[in-house]
Formats: sequence, structure tokens, C-alpha cells
Amino acid sequence: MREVIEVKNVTKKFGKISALSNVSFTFKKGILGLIGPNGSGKTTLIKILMGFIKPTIGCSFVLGFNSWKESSKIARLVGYMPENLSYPKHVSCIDYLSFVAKAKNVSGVNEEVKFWLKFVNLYEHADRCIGKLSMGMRRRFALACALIGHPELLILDEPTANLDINGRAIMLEKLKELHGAFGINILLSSHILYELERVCDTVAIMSNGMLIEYGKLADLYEKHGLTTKKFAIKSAESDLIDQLKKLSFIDKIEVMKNDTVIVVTNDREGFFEWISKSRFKKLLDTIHESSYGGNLELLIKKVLET
Amino acid sequence: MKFKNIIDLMSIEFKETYRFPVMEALIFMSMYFLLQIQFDFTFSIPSNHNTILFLQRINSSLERAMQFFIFLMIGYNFAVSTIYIPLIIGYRISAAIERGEFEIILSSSVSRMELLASKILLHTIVNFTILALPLALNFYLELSYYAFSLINLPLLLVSLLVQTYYIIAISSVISILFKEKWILSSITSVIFWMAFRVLAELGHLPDPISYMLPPKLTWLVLALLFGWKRIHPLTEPFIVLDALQVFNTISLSALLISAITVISFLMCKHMSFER
Repeated sequence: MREVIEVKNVTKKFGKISALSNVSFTFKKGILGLIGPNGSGKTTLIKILMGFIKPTIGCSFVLGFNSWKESSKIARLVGYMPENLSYPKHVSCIDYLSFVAKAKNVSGVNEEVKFWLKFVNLYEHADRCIGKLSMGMRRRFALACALIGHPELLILDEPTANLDINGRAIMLEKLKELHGAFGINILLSSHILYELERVCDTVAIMSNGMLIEYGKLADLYEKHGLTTKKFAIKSAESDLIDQLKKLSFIDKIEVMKNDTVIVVTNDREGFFEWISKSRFKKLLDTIHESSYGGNLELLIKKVLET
Repeated sequence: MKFKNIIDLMSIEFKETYRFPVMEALIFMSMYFLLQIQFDFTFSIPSNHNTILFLQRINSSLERAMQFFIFLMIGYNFAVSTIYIPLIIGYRISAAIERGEFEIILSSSVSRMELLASKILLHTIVNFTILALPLALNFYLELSYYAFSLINLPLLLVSLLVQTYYIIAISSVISILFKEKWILSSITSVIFWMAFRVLAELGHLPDPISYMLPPKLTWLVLALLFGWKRIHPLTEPFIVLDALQVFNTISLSALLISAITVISFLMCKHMSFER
């Protein structure tokens, strides 16, 4: 299976400033979140992937095509939504989308345009000029533009920038749907961590032009000890709760109505070591273990610290 | 390069940029009126002596006023056609790069060559219309002494094409070299434009027309196509068909066309949107 994105030792310098330093990673499929503070090189990396700028050193491949040398092929297979939505203001939505569909050699231009307009809930506004759309509508219009031709990969630079809470929620739902229902792989950059946490399965954390961490979100939580474990203990003993409260590695204790004690901790080994040595050893068989994701904010803090 | 993409791009930009072409309409009107008043106006003198004195006074005041008006109009016309056109094109191109318009267009599977071709063609057609229409109107309405010759049109078109190319090329390159300095880019494109014109006027450089298709080559082509006598009956054809001149003209034209093509190709190929 070909990689969706392959970045090999990419360095980009603007004069003396190094925007990207030796960035390498391979993204196979799913939703990749590009995280990093302002000036960390996210947009530069996106522009290199789209073939708008040439890397100083190294190369990148999108869907198997060299980003710089075969950018026209990439433009046909990839949908791109920039942060700045500089679309012509006096052209209607339908006219512009038809132009994009024709340029991408899409068969059945009208059907394609109508389909994506309906998908982004803009069908009723098809004849309105782009300049007269609200910011939320304009973002959705930009998404429709990127989706023309059923791309294999969507590259979205700050897709929720300048949107209100409702607009953000709609956009995130659409992105989830695009990956789930249409199988479109997505790369998105954002500052808003909870958004990325909601939609991404893979993250690339960047700082000062360097890729400091890359991988599946669950693996990264595990790697940095941020996966939270939840243990359900079938017991009504009040002494157990008192003893648990004394332990420093226990984050939360909750008593349920059905005589079940829920214990939340990051230290799985510590918890089992304690319980196997205590007089509650007999409860080991009744313990039901589950785990849930860590906190992206904590992960980034930890990664940046190290 | 798909011609359909170029036409579609031109159509979108035409709707966007020339929706309310106020400045373009002003240039057109100034050109038109300038042609109307640029003739040696005279008044018929009535026979009555008192009336003559009175009319002579009015006539001289009117003449001074008209001369002042002509002076203003020539200045205005020079300003808009020499500064406004290159400034506005330079600004539009470099601002489009910096706002990310080019990135959006390129991500729609449009090639850099198609984008550049659409820009050059649209601006050339618009400016050609602005400058040629007053000439045509004057000719058909027989309003001025300016004879409208068939030869003016291809020359004007070629001149505009070359000059528009220079403006777009210069402003784009400057915009890329000096990031987010579109004012610098626009001003420099005007300075380049002015420098070309002044140097051509002073005779240090051939007229910008000669950079791509010298007038003599145009005449030669027309002579061969339609017969020289029919187009320009007063000039002897041997002047144009002089072997050495023809050789020089063709080789210079070929050299310049090749150079411009190579520069254009390299520029489009390596144009980088480093924003």
C-alpha cells in the first residue's frame, strides 16, 4: 500500500531563518493532526506538500508523487483548504465550484458541484456571491472546493480559524464524516487541541521547525505514561475506600450504586502491587480494567519539556 | 496547457476585477476627449467690426482656457496611462500572490503557465480595448485629424502585450524576492516601466514594441500577406524589404521571443509562494 504522505529529511530555509529542520515522517492513513505553536513550521510543511514552495533540502511525496516535481498530479488528487480564504468575492459559489470541477477534469460537473454543496449545507446559497457568505459559510464553501473530484487526501490549514463554537462543531463533524463515510484521509493543522483530540488518530508535534514527536495518539499517550486506567472493583467495604484514599497515585475514587468502586489512576503497576499485597487481595478476580485516552495538552507539555 | 482553463480563469477574473471598471472608464474617457480636442481649432470671424473685437477677446480667453484644458488632459492622460495601468496591474498581481489567491487557483489543478497566460491575456485585452477604442471611435465618427490606420492596431496590441508581460514578470519576481512588500513591488514595476519608456524616448533603447515584434517586422508580415501598396501606398516597399534589415529584424525578434519564452518558463516553473 502506498503511503499517503512521506516526508524525507525536509529542511526549508528563508534566508538565514530555518523554517523546517530535517523533518521526516510517513503517514499511511487516517486523520493526521499537525500541532505546534505559531511559527513552528506547520504552514510551511503544508505548502511544501502541496508543491507551492520548494524544500531547501530533502523531498516529500504525496500519494506517491513528488510534491515539487509533480505538483499538478497532486492538485488533481488532493483537496486543499488554506487558512486565508482568498476566493473571488463577486463570483457565485456554483460558478466557482464548476470552474474547479472543470479544471480537475471531473465528469458530471453539475452533479458533483450539487453533491458537495449539499454536503456542506450550502445548496440553498449556491447562487450567492462568495463575498456575501458569512465566515462559517465561507469555510464550508472552501471545504466544498477542496472536496471537488473526491480527493484521496484533504489538506486543511487551520480549518476552524475564525469560527464560532457552532461553526467549529459543524466543521469537525463534517471531517469525521468524510473519513468515516468516504474514506478520505485528512491532514489538518490547528492550535485548538481539543479539536484535534476529537478527530485525529495520529499527531505530528512540531516546534521551532522540528518534528519533535510523531505517532498514533494512543501510542503516544502510552509512551509518555498518560493513558488513564479505570478499575471497577466489586466491593462494598468502606475500609477499602478509606485505604484507597490514602494512596497518592490514585487520581479519583467513585462509589457506584451497585456496590462497585471505580478507581482512576495512571499507575497501573502501582495499583496492582498495592492490592496484591493488601488484605483486599481476594478482590483481584473481581477487578474489571479499562483504559481511556490521555490529555493532549498534557502530552504536548510533556513532549515540549523533554 | 489547456486553453479552456485560461479562458475560465480570465472569465472569473474579469467578473471579479472589472465588475465596476471605474478607473478603466476614466482612462477611456480621457483618451477619447483628448483625441477630440487635439486639433488646431479656429473660429470663423464675423464681418461686423465691434463683433470682431469682442469675439477676438473671447476667442483669446477661450483659446487660453482650451490650451490649459488640453495641458491638463495631456498630463492626466499621461498619468493614468503611464502610471495607473502598470501600478494597478503590478499591485493586483503581487497582492494576489500575497493573499494566497494563486495558491488556491494552483490547488484547483491549474498550471502556473495557464495562470500566467490568463493574467497577461486579460490585462492586455482590457488595456488594448481602453487605448484602441477611442482611436476607432474617432476614425468612424471622423471627429479628429488623427488618422486611424490599420497598422496602429497590431502595433498597439504587440506593444501592450510586451509591456504587460514586463509588468507582470517584474512585479511577480519582486513580490517573491521581497516577501510581503507589494508596495515596493508595484512601485518598482512602475519605475521599470518609466525607465523603459524614457530610455526609448531618448534613443538609448529601442521602443518597447521592438522587444518582441519590431514594427518593421509587422509591416513586413502585412506586406507579404496583403501587399504593401494596398496598406501603405506612400512608402516604397524596398525600404521594408531591404535584405539586411529584414535579417536583423527577424534575428532580433527571434532572439527576444526565445529569451522571453525561456524567462517565462523558468519563472513559472520555479515561482515559489514563500509566504
